[in-house]
Amino acid sequence: MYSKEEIQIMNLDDNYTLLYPFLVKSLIEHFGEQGEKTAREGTRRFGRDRAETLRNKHLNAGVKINMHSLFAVGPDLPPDPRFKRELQELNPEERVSHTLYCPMAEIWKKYGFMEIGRMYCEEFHNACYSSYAYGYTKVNLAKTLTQKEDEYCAFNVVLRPENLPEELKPVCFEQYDPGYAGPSADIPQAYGKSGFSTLFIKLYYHLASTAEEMLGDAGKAAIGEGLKALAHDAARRIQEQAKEQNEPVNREFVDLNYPLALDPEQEPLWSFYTNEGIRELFVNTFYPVFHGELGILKENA
Amino acid sequence: MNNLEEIKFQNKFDYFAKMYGFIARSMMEAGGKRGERAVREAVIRYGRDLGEGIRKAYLELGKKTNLHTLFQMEPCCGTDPRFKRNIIKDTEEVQLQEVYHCPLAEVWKREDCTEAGRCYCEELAHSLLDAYTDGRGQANVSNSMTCDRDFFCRFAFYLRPANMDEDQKEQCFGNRGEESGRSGQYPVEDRFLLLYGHLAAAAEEFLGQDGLAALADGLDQFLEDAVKTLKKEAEHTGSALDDSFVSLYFPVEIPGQTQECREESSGAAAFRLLESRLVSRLRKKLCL
Repeated sequence: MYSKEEIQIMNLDDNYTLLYPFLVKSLIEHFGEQGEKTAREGTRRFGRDRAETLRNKHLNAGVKINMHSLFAVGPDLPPDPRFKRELQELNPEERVSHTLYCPMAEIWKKYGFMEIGRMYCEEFHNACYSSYAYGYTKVNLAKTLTQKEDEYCAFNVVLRPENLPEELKPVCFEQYDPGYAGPSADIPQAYGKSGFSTLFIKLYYHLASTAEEMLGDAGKAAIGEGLKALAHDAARRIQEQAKEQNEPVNREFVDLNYPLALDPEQEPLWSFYTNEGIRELFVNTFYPVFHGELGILKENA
Repeated sequence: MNNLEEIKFQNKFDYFAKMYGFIARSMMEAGGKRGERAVREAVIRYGRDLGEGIRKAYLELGKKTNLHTLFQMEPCCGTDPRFKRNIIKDTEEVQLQEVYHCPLAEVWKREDCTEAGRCYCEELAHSLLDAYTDGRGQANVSNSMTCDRDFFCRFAFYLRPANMDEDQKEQCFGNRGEESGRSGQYPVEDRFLLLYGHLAAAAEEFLGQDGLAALADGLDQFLEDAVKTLKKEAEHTGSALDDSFVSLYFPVEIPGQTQECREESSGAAAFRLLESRLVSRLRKKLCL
């Protein structure tokens, strides 16, 4: 039994998680293998962006760049109560864990998007964890819930000081930095709506900008189609979710259950991702359908 | 139960594992963290040579260089019949395997070289696949029997056409005819010398004279073990312990092979050391 707040978080997570397959499906339908190539590249860029953002936060707060910090100091993935993990090892050199239940894999499976989810698992984790530690992390994910042969995800992510160049050892490990006095600030874990909206905008931006870069205007158009399909599905889901919670579909409900602000002007992160009309594509394609189907525009009027 | 032919191969494979285990352990004991760095670097270079070598051999033979063909020649860590594997998926793009018995891990555990073994397992698959796929493939080793936590090894390798350019796709998945068995496979004798050469080079590069001393010390331990086990194996198989027996059960030819390596290799000193410290003394101790 989940609390109301937990259900909202689960909805935020599911609604964020569906962005990926809707956009990637459209790219693959329009461009086949080129579309897949674009999606994989966009996923890697998303992973690197998240890694670099977290690493910069850590460096600014005097946190060492190692596996403990990557997974336990202010991670950018907001918690979802459905995740079930068995942590076997967490220390500066290693993070070994099994994910027994992953809500992302679950919803991809439910929608028939397992193959697309597989691409995400193959590209994101490697790019993110590896680039966080300057390319020296060994990322091993030999079992994944997006692989039909597997019954859990097996993460084994390792950073050995012996594999680092001398100048990075004190950046990454306390024992190589004799004067180290600990972090200068706390970094809170991403949480709830703000956490999911950050991931949403970043993921969208990297998929869309990569599509434009690699496939030109037609790639951008394919992203637009994916956004429309996403908006229809998102509106339908919000209506179902409201019904399940016995709540009316109004601005407040949408605000609590969908990762993005109803008014794009209220998403400060867009100002960091303004290139190439990518934001405009989203605002002009997703919002009219989403608002329209939920009657939000009518409400505004 | 293995037949005599298999036992010969198994013996050679065990010596390969012991050579690595004894030398790597000795380097780590002598050089601490720097020693570990040297060992890891040696394994990385060895994996790279193996990967590049297999790719080159396949291209020369006109075979496809994908994961199915790689695992035909290099099914995880070798072709020893004692490996017990469950092949979960075997395609050109994906290889999923679990290993429940590994003779390498077995030897390293028995000889107290597990830490060195763990370095081997952490580095080898990544460097081998990286070289074999020219950086396009992805190796994942989530579990390995050289880790205290684990009782099996789990591998997942991926090689996706969508991550390649057209030339690479043609090499990996193109119309290059059916693969034919294990042609081009690296014999254990070649592996032995290849890995030894990299250990020796890394020992000198990272640890200097201490590294060469550690190398000699590792060879001494290896020699002592080889003398004992060759005698035992000759007794067990009812064979005479002569040149012919040693050439069938031991991965370094006596004499000859090291001479060639010495002439070809830039690490001549290391192979001179192998000749004087191991080969000559082994001959004497076994009265060959």
